[in-house]
Amino acid sequence: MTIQSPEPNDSRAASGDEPLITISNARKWFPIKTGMFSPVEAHVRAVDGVDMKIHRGETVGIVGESGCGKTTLGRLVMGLIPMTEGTIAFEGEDIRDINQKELRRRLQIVFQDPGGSMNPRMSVRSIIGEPLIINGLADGAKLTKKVAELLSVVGLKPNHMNRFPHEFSGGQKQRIALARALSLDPDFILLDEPTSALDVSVQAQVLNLLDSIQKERGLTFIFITHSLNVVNHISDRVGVMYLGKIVEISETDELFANPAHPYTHALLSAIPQPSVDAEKTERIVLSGDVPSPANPPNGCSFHTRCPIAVKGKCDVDEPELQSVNGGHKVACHFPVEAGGSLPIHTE
Amino acid sequence: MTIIGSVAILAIPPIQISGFLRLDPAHTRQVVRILKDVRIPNPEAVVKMYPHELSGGMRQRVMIAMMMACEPKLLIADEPTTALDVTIQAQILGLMKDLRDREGTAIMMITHDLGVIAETCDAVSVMYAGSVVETGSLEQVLGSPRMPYTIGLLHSIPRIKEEGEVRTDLPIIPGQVPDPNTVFDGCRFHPRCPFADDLCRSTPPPMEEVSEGHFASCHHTELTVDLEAAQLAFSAKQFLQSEVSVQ
Repeated sequence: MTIQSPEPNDSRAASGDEPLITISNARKWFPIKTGMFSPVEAHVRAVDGVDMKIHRGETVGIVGESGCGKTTLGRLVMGLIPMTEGTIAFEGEDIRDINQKELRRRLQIVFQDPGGSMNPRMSVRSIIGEPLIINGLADGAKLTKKVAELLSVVGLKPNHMNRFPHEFSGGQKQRIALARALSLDPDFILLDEPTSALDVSVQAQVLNLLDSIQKERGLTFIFITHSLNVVNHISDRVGVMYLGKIVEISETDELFANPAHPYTHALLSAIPQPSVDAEKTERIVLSGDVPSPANPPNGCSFHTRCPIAVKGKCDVDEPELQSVNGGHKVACHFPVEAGGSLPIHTE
Repeated sequence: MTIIGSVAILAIPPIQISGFLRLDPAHTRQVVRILKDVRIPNPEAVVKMYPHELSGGMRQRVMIAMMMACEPKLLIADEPTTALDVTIQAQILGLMKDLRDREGTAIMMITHDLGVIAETCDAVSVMYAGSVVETGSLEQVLGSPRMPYTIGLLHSIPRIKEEGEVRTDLPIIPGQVPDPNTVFDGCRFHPRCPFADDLCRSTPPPMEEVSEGHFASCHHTELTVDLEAAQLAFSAKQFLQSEVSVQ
């Protein structure tokens, strides 16, 4: 494993294309212990060396299977859990050096389960208004007015503010969660699987709402999901994660048209399409399971399932993320060329 | 309970279950064979493991092994792949199809993922608010849906864009699924339907046979013959701005 030095911050001066968030070599290893006082036996490498830049006003999608570290990466960006190694900078400043209250105001999060992220004993007015009260921005009649405004932004009615979370459907609860995230007028919102718990017809409503709010307010989103259809719809750029690492990152169109990493190829070919006339392309079925992140394989973490892995290279050397076509980066020794295909792997 | 316990409790004749903790080698071999059938790598080791030691895909395969051990006539799979990523989902669906073809087991697949349905099913029934609103073969329901809910639902799924295609708003069905306590006089879908009229508000629609073996529960199936026109009706401005938007 190679440890790259964090990129220099010289781009900070040029404010125009300064990234909003810069993630450099972020690592989060969770220790495994068998008992409270026993020594650490191993580490689960949930996030293992991620470099990424997120620019103002864009939506970056993060896809990957359950357990690949998407949510942990999101929590690191939010500063919710301490990092093992690396830095995350917000507007060029390390998030650990920023005043926590200030950071919370500017970075907000929407969770997967809208019901679980709200106190059932609080009215909608208190739920959405709490951040405003904590930050001393509004109270009394002003708070009521502000909450009413936020509710109408997310397509709910002001008279909903005296209701409680259980009186709403899943889609409406997610709208309330979004109103809460918007209440402090943040620069950035982390959307952690915001539509996974929703019905398809309601998912479309929420996706449209996110899109229009982003355009109106110039927000920056990280959109974490395992649904490739959703990520294709909503994102400007997409990062594919596998075992705690970004294996490929690119503009959405480019990634879906010319996937370079064998894992991305397999993912794209495995999406079941809900139509009857789509010609059944032969799909690449990967054999085997994802290795345990507590004991990742040597070399490329994907080589155990890769149909084009080369013995003596892929199981020894770890590939680094490098550019194949401008902003299109891939971590693979043998990236698939544009328009190329993978040999169909049969078990 | 270890995997051998979980699988064996279903796999061996009930009379011997009381003694399953002292399983004889013949039973172990039988369980290993069943696990091999669902392509679990290294089944001899897996039989001694506990569920938390397995990955999500492996656990789902053990579940299928448990079910298939009884050689059922019907397997009811309730969202079998919802928690899995697409590469593992493809493996599990392939496995279920294999078992179906080999053993002749009928599978009832309960899911909200229409992609999974297109992949695995022969016939489809669409449910809305407690009743089946459309039923027919896969080609009929997904290819030429006639009930407005099915049309709106299929239309609202995000699709993979063509290269260079500009992002536009997704087509939606306005409103929410009604609360299960709501009492309806007419069609349950009428508050969200662009074709709803007084008949829909007062009388529940019958199941109408729109083509051979294809039934749709709608008063106005004549309006949905043209699929594109029906899809457009959902996105018509005056419909979206009407009373349904948010209750």
